[in-house]
Amino acid sequence: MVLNAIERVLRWLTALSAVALLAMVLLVVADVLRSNLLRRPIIGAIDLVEALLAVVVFLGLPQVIFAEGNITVDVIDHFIGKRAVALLRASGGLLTFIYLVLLLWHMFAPAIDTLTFGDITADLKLPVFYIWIPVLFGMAASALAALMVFLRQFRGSNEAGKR
Amino acid sequence: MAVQTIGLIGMGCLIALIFLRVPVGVAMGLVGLCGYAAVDGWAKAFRVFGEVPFDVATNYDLSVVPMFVLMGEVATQSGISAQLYRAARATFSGMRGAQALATIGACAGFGAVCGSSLATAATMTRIAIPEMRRAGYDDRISTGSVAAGGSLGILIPPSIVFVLYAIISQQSVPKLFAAGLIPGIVLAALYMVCALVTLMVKPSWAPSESAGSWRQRLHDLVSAWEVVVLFGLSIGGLYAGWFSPTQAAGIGAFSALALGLVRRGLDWNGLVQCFADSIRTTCMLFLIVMSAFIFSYFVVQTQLPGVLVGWIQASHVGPIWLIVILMLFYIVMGCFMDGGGMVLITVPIFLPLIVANGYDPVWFGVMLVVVVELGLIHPPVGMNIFVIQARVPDVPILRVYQGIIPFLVAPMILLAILVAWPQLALWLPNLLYR
Repeated sequence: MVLNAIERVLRWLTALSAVALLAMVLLVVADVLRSNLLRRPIIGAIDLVEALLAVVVFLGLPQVIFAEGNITVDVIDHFIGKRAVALLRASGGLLTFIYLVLLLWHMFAPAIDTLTFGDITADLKLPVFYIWIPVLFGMAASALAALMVFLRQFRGSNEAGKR
Repeated sequence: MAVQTIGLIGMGCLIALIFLRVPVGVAMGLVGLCGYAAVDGWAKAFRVFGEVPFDVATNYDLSVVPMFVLMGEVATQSGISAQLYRAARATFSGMRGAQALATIGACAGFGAVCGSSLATAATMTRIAIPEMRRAGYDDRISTGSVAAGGSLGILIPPSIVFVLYAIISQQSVPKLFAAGLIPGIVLAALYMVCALVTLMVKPSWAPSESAGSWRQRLHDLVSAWEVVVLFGLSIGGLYAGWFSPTQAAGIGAFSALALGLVRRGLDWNGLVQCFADSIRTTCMLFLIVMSAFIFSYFVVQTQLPGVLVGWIQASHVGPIWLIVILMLFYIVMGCFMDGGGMVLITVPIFLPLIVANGYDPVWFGVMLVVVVELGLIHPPVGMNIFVIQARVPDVPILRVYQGIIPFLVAPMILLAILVAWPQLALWLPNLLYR
């Protein structure tokens, strides 16, 4: 049940990421039309595109991690047994989890700096920390997804060993 | 320990981790972090490590990636590829091997709205192979022409590999897109020559076909207007100086969506699929790009590129031989790695070497993309071959290999032309962006 709930959350995050991508496309088109037809570009379009890109990437990432969509080189599979492949997959999953947790942990310091120093975006003067919120949330969800993938692969390697 | 030694150990660890099935992005990031820490201490390394993901994911220049990917996905889902195939078939109607030539032509056309070779090969397999089978073509020529033609997706703009190269080498995306256009057209023509020569040697691989009526051919040709509109608006606008790359990508994605919805080819499920696939591709690429930046900071710290330049100068290897050695290295590496990963890992190390030997970085970007294309189709592990074989599993892989071998000559000839005459790539960007 917990697994189902987490999967549902990951799908919702992907849906939000898709909405952000659509918003980015519409914003860019609106900006092009206003700049060329009315000679009045949308102020802050660049700030918004940058913020939307962060939302697209970090809210989309957890589902990609969960679906094991990372690019992996699998040449070795032809030379070793199934159990060894399962073990390598599980080790890859563990390293992915460690990598994402390390990233998450060390992303807090620069995020808090933007809050402490009151960093703002160039045109809209929005607090940069606002952009950090979905970024940190997405990173935490990605780390959680990586943990679940690792547990799944670990069980898979045990089963491959029993067979 | 000397920083160069740390650099070499880092490279060794990276290769080992990648071959031990650690995801490419994770391997690059972890080696980059540990290596940077070994050179400059953990405190600085963690600082850089924590800042890079945010900097990459809020980089305005990189916003072209999800939007160009979306443009390609929508073009795929809304059936534009089928119309292109009909138009290309109308062009070559009546010639021996017309459908093989049409496949290559349609792939080139599809490359003009899609930045991915794998997507081009996948969509063209679905369209062209059943048609060619019905007409009595041998599976070898049909799979060979789809694999070869499919690789054009990353040379003809828009191209995701060019965007990645531009970001990591700090070159201009419009210049690279302009540089890829003419070599892309030349490569499509070379693939067609390969197909014709193959059919002269093996006439039984293609049936003789009668030409369709002029009325039908004209109708089929005109039906490809959407691709002309999409390419004209997006990349045409970029070349004309109307749009920045991000704006061209946004206009391209929007026009593809509008055409897809208006033509009713695209329903709700198709639309959801387009967005889901675009996000998956984008996130996969961004994870690698973030890690590549962490890794490239480490590479800079190790001073390895400088050492490599020194070695080459001391060993008196001529600039031409340097290029030959690098291209051979990439061809071998293409057996194991995807193009994006290969570009992001190697460019920080090799680009200083290329520039020090007097080569233009834009020209090198085109060479790199051609060699990545070759990697996509050369047996035994070209990714395009696997994409095609997954969709037509009843064709044994050995037959696909036999089909693709005659086409491998074309990218090699193009590489030789580019070395002998760099203006083939540089003329258009120099004309447009003087």
